[in-house]
Amino acid sequence: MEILKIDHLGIAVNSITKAKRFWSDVLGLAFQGIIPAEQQKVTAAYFTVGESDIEVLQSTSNEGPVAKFINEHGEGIHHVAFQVDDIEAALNELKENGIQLINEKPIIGAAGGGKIAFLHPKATGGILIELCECERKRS
Amino acid sequence: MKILNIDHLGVAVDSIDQAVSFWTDILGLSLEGTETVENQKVTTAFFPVGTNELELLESTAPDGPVAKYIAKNGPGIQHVAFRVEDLDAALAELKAKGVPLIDTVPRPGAGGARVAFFASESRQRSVG
Repeated sequence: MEILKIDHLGIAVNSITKAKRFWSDVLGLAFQGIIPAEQQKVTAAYFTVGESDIEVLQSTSNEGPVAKFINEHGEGIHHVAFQVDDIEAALNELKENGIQLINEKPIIGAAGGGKIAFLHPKATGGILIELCECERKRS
Repeated sequence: MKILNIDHLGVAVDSIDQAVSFWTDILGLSLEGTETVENQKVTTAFFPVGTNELELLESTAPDGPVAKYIAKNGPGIQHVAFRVEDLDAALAELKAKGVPLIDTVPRPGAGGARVAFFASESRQRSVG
């Protein structure tokens, strides 16, 4: 597989409104918009940083993965997403190498409809890694 | 301040030797080099990822920040590094905005860089 870049960093927060004050007002990142992702029980806000994004995630449900993450770890860095050129090929390669996946097949990503899949932290040294075959327009 | 890009992601590991093969053999990244940063009590291993980098962090002492991070959270993403145009100006701006800083003045980082750490909001994750 070929990893092209860090596509985004996912940050779990209790409040996007509060987080926006930090990422936009304090750090000066450009706010791109808010997108719901009901499949993952989150609302996502995007901030551009160079060729990557900061994806700020607020859970829409107490049962959602982001809510559970915050209950266990507090707010903070939730996952890193690497952009790949061919996610199907990447997943096949990972399966052949015995890497535990959360998504055996790609699912549709929150923003822009790209294809994404998560690797299990047990296989990655404790990190939730997302692969995405996606290209978001950044202004 | 002007943040230019994500410079790197810092990942705390128990052992760089044991962790390397996941990033190289499985994910296909290349190990660019290793460096010990004495003032952080850490050895770092760098892997280019496009114009970003992944940095593995192995503590050189039980009381180093990486060792303390792993003791509290287990191995995982310990910090994200943003490249700025002017670090001194950025720190002055953060101070003026009342953001608590871990480093009020820059310190030497890996690769001859000048770095400064701070944590966002209530979490103790370093953002440097």
